[in-house]
Amino acid sequence: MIEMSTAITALGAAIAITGGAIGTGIVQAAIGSSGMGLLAEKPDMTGQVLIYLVIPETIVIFGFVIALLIVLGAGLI
Amino acid sequence: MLQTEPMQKVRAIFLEEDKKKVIDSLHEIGIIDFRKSKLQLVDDMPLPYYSEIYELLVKFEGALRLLPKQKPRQKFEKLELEELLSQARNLKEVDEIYELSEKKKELEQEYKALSYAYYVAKGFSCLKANLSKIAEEAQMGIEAYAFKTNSEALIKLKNKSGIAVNACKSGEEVFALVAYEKSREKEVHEILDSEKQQAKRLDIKAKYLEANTSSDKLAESLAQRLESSKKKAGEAEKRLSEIGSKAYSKIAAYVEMLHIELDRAKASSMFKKTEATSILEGWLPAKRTGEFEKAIEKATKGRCSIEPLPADELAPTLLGRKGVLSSFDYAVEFFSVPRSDELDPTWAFIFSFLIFYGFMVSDVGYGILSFLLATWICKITNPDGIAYNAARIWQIGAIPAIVFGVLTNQYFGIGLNKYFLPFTGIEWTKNITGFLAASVLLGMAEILIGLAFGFVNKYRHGEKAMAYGKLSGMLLLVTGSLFVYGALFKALPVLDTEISGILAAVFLAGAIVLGGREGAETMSLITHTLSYSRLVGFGITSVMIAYMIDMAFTPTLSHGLVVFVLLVIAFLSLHTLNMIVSIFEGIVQSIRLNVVEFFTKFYTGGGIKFKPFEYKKMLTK
Repeated sequence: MIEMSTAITALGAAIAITGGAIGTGIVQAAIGSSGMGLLAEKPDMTGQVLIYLVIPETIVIFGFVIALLIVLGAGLI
Repeated sequence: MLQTEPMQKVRAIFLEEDKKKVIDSLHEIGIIDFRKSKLQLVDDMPLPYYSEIYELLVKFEGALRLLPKQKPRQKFEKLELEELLSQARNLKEVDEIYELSEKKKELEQEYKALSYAYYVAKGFSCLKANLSKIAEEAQMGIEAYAFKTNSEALIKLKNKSGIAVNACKSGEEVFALVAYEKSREKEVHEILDSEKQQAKRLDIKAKYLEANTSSDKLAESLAQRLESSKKKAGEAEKRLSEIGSKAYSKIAAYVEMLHIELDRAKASSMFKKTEATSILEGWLPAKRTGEFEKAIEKATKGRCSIEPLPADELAPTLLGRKGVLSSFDYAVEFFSVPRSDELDPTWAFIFSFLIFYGFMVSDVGYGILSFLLATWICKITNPDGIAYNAARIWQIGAIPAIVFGVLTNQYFGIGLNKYFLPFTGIEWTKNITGFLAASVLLGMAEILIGLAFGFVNKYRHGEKAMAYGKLSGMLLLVTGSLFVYGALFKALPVLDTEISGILAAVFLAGAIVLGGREGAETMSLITHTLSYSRLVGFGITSVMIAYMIDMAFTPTLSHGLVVFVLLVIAFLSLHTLNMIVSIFEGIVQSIRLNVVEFFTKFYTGGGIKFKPFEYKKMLTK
């Protein structure tokens, strides 16, 4: 039987990473579609578009770090 | 090591009559990137035979495209210009290719027209109608259609008074001649339009249907002509293939030689001239200036003047790493060419990429498989293309992936170190905190290097305040990290937590104030350092997925042979999928960490790539 505190801790970790992932997804969708439009006009901008596209990934990484700190702090892994 | 190749601008003046020899000689050694001189003189023109070479090149490239595509298998001796032009003008195969191609095109058109005529004549052969005699009259219209069987439109037309339909079934269709009073034309077309897909209008006045004979006899004669036309087209195609197999390599070699001569012929348009002399200017690697001088002196027999010029513009950038490392130059240039007056980030990129990639993939099995796959891709792709260079980087990256795999005891997710190594390795699942700390420390190290590069670049460009801003940023990162560590764990080995906090605040102010336009980005030091924790994120994800595949799908014979085979298939395909995702993310994230977190600390980019006047012989000796 899993204790309520353990379940809530796991849920907190899940919310941390899920929120980050959803946020990243929403932002990347907007940047990605604009970037593709730009590349159709100027293919030499690939490098710059790639940078803009990957910048929001940091959000999900923060989510991951927070989730990891939660589960490590609670001794779940 | 951290500098791009030093470049020197030079000017050479020589006699007009030596121009061709100078151009040939410089093309051979391939070390100069021409620039238009700023001297107030007349612009030189391309060499006189430029137009002829251009025309021949277009002709030969066209001929090559008309042949069935193949890989050239033979190399040819490179011809001198006059011999090349003379032979190219008289190469019979090229003219024959154009003639045959034209003939083939005509035969294909004829075959298409004959096929249509045969279809119509064959369709109406059951009526034995003479199609050439069918003609519209003032009061009566007549049209031919092919209907699908059981077409409602056809039944409706047959049942209408004042409309005559003569139809017969041929194959899957019903061919019909529809005659109607002109006043009822609209009504007829409305019925036909209601079932557009079922009624196909036929052109009985089409080419080859004008023969004055019944449709059945016409169909017979058209069948023979169709056969003969097909045979002729086949013969033309066969002859083209024969020429292709005999002369493709030769024509391709001529194209290469003509390209070389065309480059030479147009090179002089970059020169300036006086009545009797030509003047060229350009950039070349400083260490090869002697080679350049010797080549010009040899071509002109010493009748020349060569002088170094002061740099009056940004020099082009030559990275020039050899062998496998040249692919990393390609990657850096793909993002943006470094300026020749800033530090070259490629070595730092190479080391950090390999460490990050190895860290994220860290599996011996995935490393070996990716090495084999990358080697195969390198063999089948063009060395100048993006696929080849990406595969080359991937191939080198497999080595740290294997090393990290051994260190973390991962062999397709299974720990095998105990069977042949004296240590079991640092396992991911048992040391996450350690890996997290290591990833952040790696990030700190790279960002410190980036800020140090930024300091050097700014200092050299005379932007001293901004340079000290970078220095403040470095000190802020160190003291700030010590402060955070001390505040969290209460055990600073080198400095009091309070003092480190005060120092961090001072350096933060210094970085913002001195950093000028870049000062606002100081806060990104925190986010960028934490961003390196993605190394653990992607690493642990790959390891956990591999672990779960092993747990659920490790093949065993305990449930029978069928289950065993299914488990083998699932095990292999899931590991392949995990490997592809892990490798792809490894490459993308390693590049991203360099480009976004590292390069933004110092890199300007936007340099001019050094493009020497050179050629590559692929098909000529």
